[in-house]
Amino acid sequence: MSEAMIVSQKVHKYYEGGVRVHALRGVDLSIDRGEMVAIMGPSGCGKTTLLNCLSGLENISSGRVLIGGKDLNALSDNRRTELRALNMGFVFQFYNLLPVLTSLENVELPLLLAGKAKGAKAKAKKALETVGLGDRCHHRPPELSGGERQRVTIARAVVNEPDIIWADEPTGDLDTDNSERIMDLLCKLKEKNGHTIVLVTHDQMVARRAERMIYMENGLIQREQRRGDTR
Amino acid sequence: MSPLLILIGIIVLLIAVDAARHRVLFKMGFRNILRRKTDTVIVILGLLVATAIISSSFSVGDTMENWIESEILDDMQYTDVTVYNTTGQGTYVPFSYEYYRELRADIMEVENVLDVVGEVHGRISVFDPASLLSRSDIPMMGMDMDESDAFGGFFVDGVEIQPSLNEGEIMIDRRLADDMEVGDSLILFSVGHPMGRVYNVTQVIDNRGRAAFGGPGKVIMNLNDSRMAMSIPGHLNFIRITSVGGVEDGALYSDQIFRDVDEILKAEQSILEARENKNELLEEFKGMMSMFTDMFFVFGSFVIIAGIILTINIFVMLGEERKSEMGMSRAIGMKRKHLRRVFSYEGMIYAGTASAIGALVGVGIAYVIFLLLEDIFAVFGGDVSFLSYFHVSPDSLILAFSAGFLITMATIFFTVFRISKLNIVRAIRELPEPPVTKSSRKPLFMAVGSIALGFLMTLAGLSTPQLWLPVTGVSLILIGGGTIARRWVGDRIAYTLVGIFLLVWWMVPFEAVESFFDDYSAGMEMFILSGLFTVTAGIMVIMLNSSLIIGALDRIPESSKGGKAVVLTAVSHPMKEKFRTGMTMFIFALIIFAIIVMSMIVGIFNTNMDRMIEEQSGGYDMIGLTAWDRPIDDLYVEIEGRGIDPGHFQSIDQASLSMVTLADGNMDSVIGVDRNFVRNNTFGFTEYHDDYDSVDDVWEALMSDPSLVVTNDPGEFGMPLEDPIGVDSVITIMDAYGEPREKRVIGLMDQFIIHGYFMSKEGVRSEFNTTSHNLFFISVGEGVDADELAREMERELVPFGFQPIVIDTVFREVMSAQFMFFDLFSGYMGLGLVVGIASLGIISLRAVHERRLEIGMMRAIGFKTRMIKYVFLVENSFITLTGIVLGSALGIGIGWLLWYDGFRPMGWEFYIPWGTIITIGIIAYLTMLVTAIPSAHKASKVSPSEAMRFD
Repeated sequence: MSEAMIVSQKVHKYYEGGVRVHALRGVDLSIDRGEMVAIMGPSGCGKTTLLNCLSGLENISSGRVLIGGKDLNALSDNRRTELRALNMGFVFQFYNLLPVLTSLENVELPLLLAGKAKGAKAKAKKALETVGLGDRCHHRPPELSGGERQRVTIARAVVNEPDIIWADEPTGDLDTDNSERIMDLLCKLKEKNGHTIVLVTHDQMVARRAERMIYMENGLIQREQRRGDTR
Repeated sequence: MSPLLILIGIIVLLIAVDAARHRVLFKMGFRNILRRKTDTVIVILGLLVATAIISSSFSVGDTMENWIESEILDDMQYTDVTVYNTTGQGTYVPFSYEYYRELRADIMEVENVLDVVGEVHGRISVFDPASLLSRSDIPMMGMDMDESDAFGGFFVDGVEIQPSLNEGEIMIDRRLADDMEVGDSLILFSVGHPMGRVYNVTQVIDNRGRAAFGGPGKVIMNLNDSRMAMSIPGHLNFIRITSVGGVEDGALYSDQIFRDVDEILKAEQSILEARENKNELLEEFKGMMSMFTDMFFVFGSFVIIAGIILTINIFVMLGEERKSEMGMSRAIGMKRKHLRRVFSYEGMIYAGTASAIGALVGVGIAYVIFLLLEDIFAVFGGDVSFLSYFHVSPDSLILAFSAGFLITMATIFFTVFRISKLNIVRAIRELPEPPVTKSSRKPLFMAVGSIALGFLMTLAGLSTPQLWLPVTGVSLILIGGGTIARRWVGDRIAYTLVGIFLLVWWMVPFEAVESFFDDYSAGMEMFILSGLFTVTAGIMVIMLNSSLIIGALDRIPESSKGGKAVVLTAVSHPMKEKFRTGMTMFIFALIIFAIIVMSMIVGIFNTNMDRMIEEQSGGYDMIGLTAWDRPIDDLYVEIEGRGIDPGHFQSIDQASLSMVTLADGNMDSVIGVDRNFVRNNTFGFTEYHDDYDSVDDVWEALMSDPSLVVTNDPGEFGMPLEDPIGVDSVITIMDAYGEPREKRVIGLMDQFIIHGYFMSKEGVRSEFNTTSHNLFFISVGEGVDADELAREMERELVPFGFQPIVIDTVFREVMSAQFMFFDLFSGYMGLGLVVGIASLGIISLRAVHERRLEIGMMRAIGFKTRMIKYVFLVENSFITLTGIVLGSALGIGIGWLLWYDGFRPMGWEFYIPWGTIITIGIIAYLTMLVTAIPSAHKASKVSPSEAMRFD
């Protein structure tokens, strides 16, 4: 029997400001442990907002988000940060690596933040080798290509052996070859380590690598499609 | 060790231990510093200014203290305590040699006393027949050459000699010899030698050892000759005491010796008193010198405030630059405290480096200040070589470093606390923060806090009549009120109104609120606070109404191709980044404000100089004083007798000046004037008794009743007194026979040129036993050169020690020195422009970096390289010029207020020194260009393709 890793119940998100924007309008969703889900939809449909709310990067306006059974809303900012450090990895479109740290140090950082300093360097090096960048350990991000930077980001996301990897347009800034390589890598790591992966993408080719595709529109899930499902 | 240094040590140690535990975070902080070296240099330059200002004010204090200590020790040398007394006529009270021997024996019994000498001191006049130069009032010391070596002996060019002075022989010191080009002999005039006596100069000695005392430029005689000169045969009039401590350590014993000798004298009911006490003099003068440190600190506080604002600006911008990285760091598990750590490590390195360099730069600034101070002192004829006394104690350097470091770190902590409160998603995507909503509770709490603090300050002002308390209190209430009102009317209306109200509130003439604050006192703090509040108000009004500025620019017709696009783009950017633009404008405006206020004061003084001289002079051109012991019966007779043309004089009013003791033991002076003075003088009064209808009535009453006096308005001396003399005050003066005489003040004179209680000459003669004249109010004839006549009078009347003061000349000299001080302080505050320029430099560099994509896009749609350069130059010019114009306008406003409340009631004219203001503005603008041009050039070099690849 499958175990729900991520659950959202009637999640609403409003943005206050000059004009009130209702970005999520009651999203109900359940993602199983080890599942790879792609969220798709037109620009402004709320897919990135949903990822941010599910990962605890943003507070929701109402509803509930459960991660491994824990209600995110009930956690303080510090507890949520710890949860992210211990259980989550992030991959974003523009890599967001720290330019002052080397690749190795960037990858090592989540381990140190999670209080796993012992053997952190070796683990980080191994993660970099896994993504094929064992020889780029001491290079800083500005010295790497886009594809390499994204692989460092993936190494940083998985080094902590997290339950969940959140990926927002992980291939959005890459060419087709590099996109393929990045998705291969994510799938391989998922198979090997059993990560739950939630990715937001516009790219059908990328989405098709997921086991389930969720289509959003106007802040709501319109439909879902499983891989191989021809409906 | 300085407690501050210990505190810093603890802070650094704690941070170092913390850094060791969070090596990656420390590494991030450290490497952030090395990311952009130009930025780092500018950041350090900006951060070091506050420390430099603190360090320079301490260095000024140290040097002044060293100077005064050296002056006192050079002058007193081995003398630690003196014993003497003075008469009402200012001469020393003589005592017999036998009494001296008895007293000496008693004093020698006092613990730590090494030796005692009895001497004759006095003031004499000298004339050099060779150079034909004369000096009317120089110190003379008569001594027994063989009496004591404990006072250090005599020296010629550093070599000790054993002089012996026979009758008719004198020694003079190097200063007098050089000053008068003295030949082999001098003619001395004194009370004992009214017709002068020729003395042979046997030695030109150093002003040190036993010869040191009473200041340089002196004559030394043998004891008998000096007794003759002072007309006190068989007597002495001065005792010097030296301790076992020597020159410097003598101060350690002088308090105790002074106390013990004072007890002896009181027990004996002696006519003599213990007077100078080396330690007390040192402490007293050091205290006076601390005034210099305080003044530089007060004027420098504008620069320190600017430095703090710059620090905030720098770290806010660093935060903005790294927003995306910080967002990602937070996403992957970094807590806010981790972000704060990274910035704290970085800030500590910046603060440490900047404070260390700043402390040293401050020493350099102080050195330049003393170079300029030498020029200022030269105006008074002084030739003080301050630089030879230049001294900075390690304690001061440590204190300056510590204060600068702590101010910078405190500012960084405060700023970083705000930076760390970022929204992760917005930070990662580099989205702007949403505006604070009307319903947000945080501004409400701050508003309530501001109002509460304002009320407390206003209430505190009721019990402590300090003007800054209620004025600041009301300002805080206004700001708090505006913050609450924004919930209904929005930011723009609320804060624009607050800004306008604040400007009106701080510009309200004191006259309008006098009934509320009549007894309140105000000082330099009002200058600083008025700058802070009015500049803040002005910036608020400008930034919140930026759309009006942009709208106005939009309506300007296109005059050159692309010109309007350049201007609109250039102005829109700073108006979008309101915080950083406002902060930089604030720095420029605050510094320009402070400088302009100073210029306004100088300008108003300059414009009204003639009026001021006319008021202060009382219609006279010259004031003359004789030596205390050589008054003149009738100056007209002496003038004619000595060949001075009486036609040079329009009038000479002769008065008697006496030193008197008040009932409270303080010394003061009484000036006896006659009907000629009453008829001729035009001295104004700030206030006189209601019983009299006019100033003439006041003088008339004074002439007929010796119990009535008029005196200077205490406000004329600018000194706050606990119990100032006012109209109807009654003072008690001890007369020549020791009897108390009550005097009622019936008027306060509007002059500070001569101080004392003016009463009828007859009254002074009968009560204070004066029979002659020693003070003269002189008006010269039409077309007569007062300075030339003064020189002639000094020369011809040298037997009387006549010292003429040409009021116009002396006044202009004093004011010129005063203006030089103002210029010095303006220049000192001008250092704040460095802060403004550093701030602008950081903004410019940052702008180029963060807008590369946008520049590329602009280039792509048709902006030429030249236009991009202009966009950046216009942008920087807009910020600088707005700051300059705002600061100038507010400076003129506060200058007007000072005139309205302070000078207008005296009938002074208002004056705006446009020339100075425009010059200051141009200098500030041109120095800004030095920073702006490189970044504009850098921006123009960004190619469209490169910019589009930027990430």
